[in-house]
Amino acid sequence: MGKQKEEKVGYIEREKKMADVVIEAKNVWMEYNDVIALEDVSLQVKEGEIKVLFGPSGSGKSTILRCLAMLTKPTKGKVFLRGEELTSPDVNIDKARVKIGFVFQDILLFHHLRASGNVALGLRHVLGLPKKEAKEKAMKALREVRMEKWADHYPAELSGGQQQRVGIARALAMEPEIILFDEPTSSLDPELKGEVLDTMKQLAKKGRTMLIATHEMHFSREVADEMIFLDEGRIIEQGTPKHFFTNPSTDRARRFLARLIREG
Amino acid sequence: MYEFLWEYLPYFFKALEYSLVLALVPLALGFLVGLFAALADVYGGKIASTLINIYVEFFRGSPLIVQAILFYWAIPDLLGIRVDRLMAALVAFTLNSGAYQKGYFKGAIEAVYEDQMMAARSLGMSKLKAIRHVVLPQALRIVIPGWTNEYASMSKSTSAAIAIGLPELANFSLSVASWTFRSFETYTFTALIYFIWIFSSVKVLEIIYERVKIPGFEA
Amino acid sequence: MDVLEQLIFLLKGVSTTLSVSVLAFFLGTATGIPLMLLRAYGGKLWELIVEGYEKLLRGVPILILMLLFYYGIGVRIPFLRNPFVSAILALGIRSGAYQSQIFRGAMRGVGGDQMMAARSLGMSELKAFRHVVLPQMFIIASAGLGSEYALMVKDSAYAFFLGGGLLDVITRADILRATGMLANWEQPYFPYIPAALIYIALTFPLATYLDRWGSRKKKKLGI
Repeated sequence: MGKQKEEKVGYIEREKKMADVVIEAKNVWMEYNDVIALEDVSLQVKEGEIKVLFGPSGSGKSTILRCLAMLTKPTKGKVFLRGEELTSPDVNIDKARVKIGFVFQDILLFHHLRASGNVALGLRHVLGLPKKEAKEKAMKALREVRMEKWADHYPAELSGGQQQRVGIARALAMEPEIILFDEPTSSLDPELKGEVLDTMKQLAKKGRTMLIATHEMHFSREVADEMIFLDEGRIIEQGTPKHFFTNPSTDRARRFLARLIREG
Repeated sequence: MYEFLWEYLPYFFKALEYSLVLALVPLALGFLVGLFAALADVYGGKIASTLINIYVEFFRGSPLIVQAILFYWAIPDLLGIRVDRLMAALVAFTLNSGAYQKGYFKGAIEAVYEDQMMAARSLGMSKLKAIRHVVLPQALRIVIPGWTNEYASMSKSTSAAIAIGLPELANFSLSVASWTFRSFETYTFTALIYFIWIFSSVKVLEIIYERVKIPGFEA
Repeated sequence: MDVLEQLIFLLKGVSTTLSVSVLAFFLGTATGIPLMLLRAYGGKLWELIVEGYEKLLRGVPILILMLLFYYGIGVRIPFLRNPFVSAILALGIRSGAYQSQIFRGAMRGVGGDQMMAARSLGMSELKAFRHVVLPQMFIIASAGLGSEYALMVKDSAYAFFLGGGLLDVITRADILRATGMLANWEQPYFPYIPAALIYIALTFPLATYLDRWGSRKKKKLGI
């Protein structure tokens, strides 16, 4: 997992660091119906990094993820993917989305397709791969999440945890630069969360770049390079897991974590 | 352009009146037929159910025109009797409407049935009482949107009466068109009459439904 | 003609009846889907226009529409002076208004989230609609489409009143009646009974099958 090198503040070193940034939000605001969902949020994820977003419901975790994937357009501010500005009007967002993997809280598998079909759909109709190749790549992705035996099953025939793993495979198959996880286990029954979190840990071990919104604190402690605490649409505090779990700086973060850990 | 129709206006209204009778009577009687058929289907046992379904499929599966002709000509011929034109049409239309209305009632009853029946029985109500006081009042409200649909449908279907020569609106318009040779104007004018008739009635029914509907149970 | 010959004569009308019905149905789908999309995505103005158009076509008897096309407009445009064409056009355009409603409900049944998931993979809105939303829409709409098809078959009978010699089932039944009357038969209207049964055979099985298929598929896919 990308441990940051000793910082040598020189021109060349700094430039290299800049190239490492995969996705970045700069001063993003999101407003709708007179509600301010995001207030001046800036964050970035570098290649190989794993960052976790956490905070109370409605704090804006989902919203910022959606803005980063441009599934929602921010009211103000900019989003960059490998330096390219996605919020600019002349950008082809569909092309950009290929490189941004997204895993949904509600899973959202395509009901009418089997597991393999779900994973292969993007490969065939977005990347234009021929049927055979798409199927092979789909099976490869399913193997990575250990769902290859269920390739011919429809989503309705799978448990929530299995469905979400297929959802992860679907995002993986497109070979994205980063995967955004929007509370991937929140809608699952407790006994099914484990398999999804394990799958995500596997991805972390392989060096995937990930930005995860979640309530799972034990999991976050294990995989995160950095954790970002959001509340009411603003970033309140950021730091390493160690920092948050031993001695958070802000009161809000402290209170939130205490409550979360108490509730197990 | 349409001025020539002015002199026919009173006759158009007469024809419209005729169409109204051909629509409203079957709708009202069909209501009873449909309700009875739905109850028989849901509560009546296998044989009743099968018979009802044959009746329904016959009237929903064949054109109303053919049904009208059957009731005015074919069946009386077979039975060796003579019937009144209007009577034949009303019988055929009533049975037709009843078949469609049965579907709406059945859906409404089944939507309400199980849970509500269970709750009613738990208070000690007999099945009959439960149907009368709990199931039906709700079902009759839920059925209104479907019934509104049937109203619109039957109003348009009255034009099938042309098959047995009744002087309803569509038939009359055909005559006017052939007398005046101005088909386009005649038919667009007739379409307008139908449209105003149906649109305003449906609007009224929708307003009634708004007042009467059960919250949380909307179509 | 004996009974068997009569029956065969009637059955020959099935191809005409079905041609009219099926072509009208497809015309309805071809107009219904764009109408639905226009109403959903075209902005408030188009929403009102399409809504008005739908209300208009559903507030007028199909016979009047057919007469309008065949006589009213057919006077100027000889293409329409053909009962086959006028019937299909009238039935098809009206069906478009109905199918637009059916698809609208179906699209709502699919839900916007499926579209979002597809777009998260980099699919354009069009591709997402075609590959993810549309297939599910058809499954949800199958029962409604089945009964719409049945309606096409039954309403095709109104073309009889255009008088242009369209040899469908009901017209043939009427021809048999006419010859029967000439031959002084006791019950010249008898052929209408098998005619009714033929229509039922054309509507009931397919509509029921589609309804059942749709229910099964919906249950299986959890839609």
